[in-house]
Amino acid sequence: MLSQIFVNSIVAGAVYALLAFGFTITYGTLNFFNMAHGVAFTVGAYLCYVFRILLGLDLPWATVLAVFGTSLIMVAVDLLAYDRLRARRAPSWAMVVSSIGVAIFIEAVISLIFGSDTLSLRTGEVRPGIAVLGAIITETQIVILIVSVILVALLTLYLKMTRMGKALRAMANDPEIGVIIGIEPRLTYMTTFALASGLAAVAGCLVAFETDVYPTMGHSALLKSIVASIMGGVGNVGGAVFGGLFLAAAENFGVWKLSSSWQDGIALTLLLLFMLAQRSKSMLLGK
Amino acid sequence: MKLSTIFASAFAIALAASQASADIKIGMTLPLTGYAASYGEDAKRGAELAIDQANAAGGAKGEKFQLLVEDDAGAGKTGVAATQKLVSIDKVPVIIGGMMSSVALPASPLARSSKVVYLSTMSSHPELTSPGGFIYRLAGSDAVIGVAEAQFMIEVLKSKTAVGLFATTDYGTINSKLVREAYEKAGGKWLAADQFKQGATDFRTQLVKLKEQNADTLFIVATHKEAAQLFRQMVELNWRPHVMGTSFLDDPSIFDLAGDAANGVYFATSAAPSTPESKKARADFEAAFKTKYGKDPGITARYFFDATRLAIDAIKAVGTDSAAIDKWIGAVKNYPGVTSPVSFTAIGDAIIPATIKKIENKKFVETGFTRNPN
Amino acid sequence: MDIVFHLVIMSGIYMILALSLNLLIGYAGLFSVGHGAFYGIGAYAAAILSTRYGLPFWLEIFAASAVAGLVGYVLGRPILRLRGDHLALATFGLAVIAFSIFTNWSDLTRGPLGIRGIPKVTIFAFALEPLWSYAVLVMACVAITLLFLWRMTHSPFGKVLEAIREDDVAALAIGKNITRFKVVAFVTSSCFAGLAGVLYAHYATYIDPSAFVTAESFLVFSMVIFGGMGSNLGSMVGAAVLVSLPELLRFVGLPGNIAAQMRDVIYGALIVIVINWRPQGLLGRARL
Repeated sequence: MLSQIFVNSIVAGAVYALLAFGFTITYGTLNFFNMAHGVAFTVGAYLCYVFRILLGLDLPWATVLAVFGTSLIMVAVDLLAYDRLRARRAPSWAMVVSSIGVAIFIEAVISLIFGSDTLSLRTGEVRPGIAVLGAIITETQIVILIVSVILVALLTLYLKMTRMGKALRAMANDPEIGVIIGIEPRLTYMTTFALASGLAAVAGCLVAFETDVYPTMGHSALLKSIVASIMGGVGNVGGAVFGGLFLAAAENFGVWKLSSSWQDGIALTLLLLFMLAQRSKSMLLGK
Repeated sequence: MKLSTIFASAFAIALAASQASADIKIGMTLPLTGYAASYGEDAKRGAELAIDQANAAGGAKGEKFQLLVEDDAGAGKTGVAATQKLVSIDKVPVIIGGMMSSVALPASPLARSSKVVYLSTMSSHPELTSPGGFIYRLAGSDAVIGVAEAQFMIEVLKSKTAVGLFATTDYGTINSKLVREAYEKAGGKWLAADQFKQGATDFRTQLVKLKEQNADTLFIVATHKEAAQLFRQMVELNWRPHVMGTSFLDDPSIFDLAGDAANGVYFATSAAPSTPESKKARADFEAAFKTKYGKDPGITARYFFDATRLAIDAIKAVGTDSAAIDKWIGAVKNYPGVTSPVSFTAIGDAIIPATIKKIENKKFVETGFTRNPN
Repeated sequence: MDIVFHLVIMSGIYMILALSLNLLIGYAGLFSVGHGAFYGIGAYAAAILSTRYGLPFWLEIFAASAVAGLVGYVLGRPILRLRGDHLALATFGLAVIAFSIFTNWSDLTRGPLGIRGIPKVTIFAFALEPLWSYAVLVMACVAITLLFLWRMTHSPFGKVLEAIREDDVAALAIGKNITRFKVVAFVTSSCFAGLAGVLYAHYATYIDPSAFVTAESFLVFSMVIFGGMGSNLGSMVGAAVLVSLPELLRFVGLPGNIAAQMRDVIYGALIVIVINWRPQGLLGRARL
């Protein structure tokens, strides 16, 4: 029983980690609390549906295309909805408000195009999962874990090793630094955005394999991203991963011991308590 | 201010336009957006089929019927606004709607006080109907359904122990309570129950908790979308007890969403037609629906078809005076509905028996087990 | 006609919400996106007090608003020590937790079943049955709210609030206990949000958790932004427009099933456009 909860937690946690990773890069580097992060998740899932079901591509290709597609779309969104505000050095809340508008807009467009119904990506039959150490895990869940681990590892390397990666990390510490050390700021913004959206899109595709797509699926994704990022420390990518796992564990253990309908309440109460206890930017991993 | 003059003139123009046509208008509110949108779309299909058929047969004394559909978003606030518009601007004599209780409960008193007939369908909230007329509920009673579910399990499948999993919504709360009571009354042992948030997609932790109880039966109250995920996860977790659900599963889209995971699942729904007229109506309806839309109807389509036809036949019989419509509807006996023959109690609840069906290989199979309301 | 009164009533309720939120966002610079929580608390308090304890309306309106204010006090004191984004997040957390409680604490709120049969309002034995009379009541409450908040913001207290908004470190330097000021603003704001909740409960005669989802908080927030932060008139106009717009779009003649999505498309686009090209909203004074 405990091992099953554990399995549930790390699978859910892997997805939350991807989401939080993307959210925290944007929040840390651009100081932008992106309320449209959830729709990047939804767009990724729907694009995956389009490529897989409507165009009949294989799953891996569909996913890759979906991720690229989402990044492209979200960068375009950035240019339309946020760029002007950044150029005028608007306060951060202005971009938050704009992102709320973007989220509402994109979700409504998705509903218009695809209808409000739930669409299914799966074509095969359902199979029992594999029993491992007293818990059961399905093939899809194993894929989710592997993909997440690889991505997180790759991205951590990217941030540590490449020039752009280091630039992103520098700017997370001090936004002005980018200009000083000669990095083209716009390029950095767009890269950050593309990365964050891409990660959300991957999460969207992974979840879509398991539980189908519907227009409002981004809402809970956004909530998880926010909670996990804050708990792990803003701009701290290792923390985001940890936050995602921690949140998933708290939820699943909470459901196990209490009633499941309190799930969201649990997440937010935890968040509140953490923030009140710390009142500083990061938490568990110290910054 | 320029902006307000624009708004005002647009409003006035639209107002004038909406009152121009001479068709007989029937009002309807549906959740076309939001959580229940797919049910709303199915309902709309059923309703529009009824209107089309009526108009093809000549309408009422040559006048055509027109369906005015407003989005109620499945929420009280929007539902009240939608109903208000239909009542005061379109001045319809009858409104069909209130699929979700959160709409039906605030909207129906509004209709009643304006003397507009309110035909709620699907809403199972016990406090919807009351003496006073004008409010009707075309839905199987949860009490009858709960009894049917419990008794089938115990009498036919010889169930001894059960657990429950239900959505934290009004229908979830009410249904689960009624099923539990009926199950224990019939001699079964209820071991545990758990809940999930409306729209949830991951039930694994709850399923694992319930699996531990080793019950032979699982009662669920979930929409077909939620149930599809649930069934798949049960297969993955290798837990295959008897499963019994509610009429929300009576929707053919579950076949694709759940695939083989739904095989062997039972659910209670409003009885198949038991009179010859009702049987014929059902067969004709399903054929016509398939022809027009290329897919099979779900339970919401059937209910809304019936409700619309009730309104149409009432208007054909007594005209568009809402008090007369109210009397006519209240007095129907065994109206040949495609859901089942319809009669109403004194406070407007439909008397509909419940029956148990089974899902097998992407088909609904009748079991012949029926329970009548007493 | 009734539909107009309906719009007046709903606009009025949201005006009270927007005005009270404007006190926080526009004057005190406190970004709260949890206003829906207090709206809901006021509504549930009203529903419970009137259906279960039979409190008369005039008493209940004060009691329910006071409950909302009390909760605002208890939660506000710790939360208001947070800054900027963390504060916004904490207030959002309040909205989520409040919704969770409305849904799950069934003994108190009847959970998803909601509370039905909230009585129509009777003032001095004059039952407010016809819609126009209720609209008058709501507008009277709007006027009272506006007056109260106007007095508050144009008083010395209000000046300090604005100082805190501009630069709270400086305000601290001149010896003002900024947390106390923030708490007072927060409690006042919560009371009026509760008042709006009472008015809604008695209008709809039935409330359930779905009326107080977190999206409500965002809606009110948008009204304040759209109308212009810091402008009371702007908040009122913002409320009226954002309440009426979706209803007016019903008349434009779009087919039913895309009308609602089109509303959201326009709504979302409006927000992006306003914030990019006219960030002071319709009537605001805040500059970017």
